[in-house]
Amino acid sequence: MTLFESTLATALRDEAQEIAMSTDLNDGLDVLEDRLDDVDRSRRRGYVVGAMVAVAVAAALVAAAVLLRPVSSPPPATHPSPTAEGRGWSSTPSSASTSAFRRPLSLRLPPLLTASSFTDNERSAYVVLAQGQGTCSATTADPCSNGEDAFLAILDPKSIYDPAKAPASSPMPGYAGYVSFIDSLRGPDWTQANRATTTTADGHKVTLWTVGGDGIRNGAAGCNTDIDPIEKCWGTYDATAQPTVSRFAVVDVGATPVVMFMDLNADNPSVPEMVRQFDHMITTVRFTTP
Amino acid sequence: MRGTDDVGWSADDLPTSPRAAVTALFHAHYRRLVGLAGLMVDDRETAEEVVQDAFEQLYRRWGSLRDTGAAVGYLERSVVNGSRSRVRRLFTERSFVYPEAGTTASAESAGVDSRQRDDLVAAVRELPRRQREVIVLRYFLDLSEDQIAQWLGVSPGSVKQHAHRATASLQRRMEAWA
Repeated sequence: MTLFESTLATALRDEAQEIAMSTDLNDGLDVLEDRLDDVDRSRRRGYVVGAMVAVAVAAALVAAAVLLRPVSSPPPATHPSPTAEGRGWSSTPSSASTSAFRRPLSLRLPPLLTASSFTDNERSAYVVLAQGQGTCSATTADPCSNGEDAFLAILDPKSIYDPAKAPASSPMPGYAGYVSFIDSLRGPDWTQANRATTTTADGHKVTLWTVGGDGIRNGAAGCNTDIDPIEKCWGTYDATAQPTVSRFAVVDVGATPVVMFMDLNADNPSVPEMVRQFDHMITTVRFTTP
Repeated sequence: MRGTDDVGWSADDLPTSPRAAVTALFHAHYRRLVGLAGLMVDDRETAEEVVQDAFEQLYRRWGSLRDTGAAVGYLERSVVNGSRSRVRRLFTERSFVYPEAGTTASAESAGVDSRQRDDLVAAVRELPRRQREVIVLRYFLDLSEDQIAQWLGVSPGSVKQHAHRATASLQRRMEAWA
């Protein structure tokens, strides 16, 4: 190790030591205990539900066996063949439901978009994506890497930052206005990777884009309040020139749209497949009554 | 810095109850992991949250770990991944809320005064995100280029390139001290 490397390593370790010593272990332990209690409670609920499901399935199988006995024997079971649209998704889909988000919804998370954590508040729901969740090991050959650097956000913004009007924020426009706004975000450092496409989510019209580049678009995806400073708002983070790819979906749900966007590291080799699965996921969204 | 040698826990030492084992690991590694996260994110509260998330995930997955002795490696990787996700999540101001330096004895013993050390750390924080990650993984966690490539999901060539650019930038900063 050279003198420079040694100096750098020492400086980093000193800095980490200072940070470490400024944290309170006992406070941290209290927080951890609360979190582990929550995990335990959640597991117990899961066991109860699982047991109830198992009993119901067993009862249904018995009933089916009784009903089918006088009839000819049933055809052999077959497995659906994979299709381009639904390859593998129905086997182990994860689902997520908001709890505090003001436009309650549920959705199914496809394999590459499974969540390692899900949190929400009145104006935003945030999913940390963890590809390979449940199959991770503690080895360095952990296959979870593709989803580690990704998140999915579901927003009901009150305002946005339009670069043309910055530094002031603007009220969140309606669906058509927001679609035009996203369409207008073009430039040498911001590319629309493809033309906008449309689909529906629970009967609501949706417009989708893939966008990316080195540019910063702070606040483009909106802010939780109408007084948030730009750095507290959602958008593409690129203050450090790390190329990202974002998939935007704007859902027409009323006066102002719901914005769903997935942010990925552009280096991630699974980007095309994750975008495809994101688009499918949009069609699984179900809005529920507040 | 790595492994369990400095904290006294091995797979055989860990309590058999998952909760007790995770708590024991927390006692042994919490501060160090907060330090690691603190090098990758810009405020201590976020660093603490990232580390809490890592321990919670470890507890959730304890039953599927093939080797509980590798739990520390799992935690380190979770912290790195969690920190990277947080950095990308929201726009945070690049202001640091850590307390003033308490001791800088080891840096000074390497011939670097506290002002220069702070300047070097600040320079690391100002690096482009990927370069900063490579530098922290290389010089704090002592990972090899191949390991860093695996952790970050990029090619070893890309790691080499980021490391080269980062060290060139940091060396220029150090040369300015003269």
